Amino acid sequence: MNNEMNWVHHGYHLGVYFWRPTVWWNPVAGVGPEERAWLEEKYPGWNDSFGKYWDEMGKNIRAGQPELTLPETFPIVCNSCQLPVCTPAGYAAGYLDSPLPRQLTIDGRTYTFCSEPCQWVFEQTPEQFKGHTSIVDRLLSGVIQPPTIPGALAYMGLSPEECGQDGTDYDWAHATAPVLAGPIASGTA
Amino acid sequence: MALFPVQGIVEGDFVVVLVTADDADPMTAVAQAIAHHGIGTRVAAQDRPLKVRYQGKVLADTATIADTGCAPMDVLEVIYG
Repeated sequence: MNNEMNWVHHGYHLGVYFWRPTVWWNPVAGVGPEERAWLEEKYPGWNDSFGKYWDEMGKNIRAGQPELTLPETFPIVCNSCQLPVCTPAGYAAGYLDSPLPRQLTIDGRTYTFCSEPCQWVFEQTPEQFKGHTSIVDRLLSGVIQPPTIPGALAYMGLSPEECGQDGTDYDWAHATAPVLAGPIASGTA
Repeated sequence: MALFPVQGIVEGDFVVVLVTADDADPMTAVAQAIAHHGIGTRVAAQDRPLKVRYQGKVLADTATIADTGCAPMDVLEVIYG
């Protein structure tokens, strides 16, 4: 579980931003040069492991295609915590042995989990959890109509005005790296 | 031919996504359906062919979901060949 402290929040950071229409605030989550420098200092290797996703999204925004930073489908969500399953992030960053989610079949229904603790919680009292349907289950079972992102947002009670948008109007993707004051700039001449 | 939901993972991506494929489509089409939700959006494209891996085995390009015995919501990985 301590392993997850190294990567899972970076995955959720990406998830909140990419699926921002599903939240009811405007995420100020874009990673510009200044934020990158901070993340790299605090989490050495962040640019290689997680910066690459922001590279791609920033490139699309600068190319005038911000729609490519918005979802056309849903993430698979954990049948315990209901959060997106980000195991591929842990694998890609070198912390997990496999990108595959954990799965468990009970009474013919297969449940998907984001982590060992979530599966453990579920297995302690399966009777409490096994009847619950996730947002993805509801899309597939026909409860959500139409079974699309707009249909799901309406089902969640989110009007277009309430859906989250980029909190900086994409400023982060156009920002340039700040000039840092170093020994020369700080002036000895 | 029937729509068939799977859990899709694009190699190098950060999240598992819901993808609807067609159970009669060849794996080349299934790979594209899954890749659509990751490559070029969060994962940089590479000039290499895409392959589908299921339960650790890379599937033939001509195989269909019906051929593989894949069940709805099983996990299919898209990898570069």
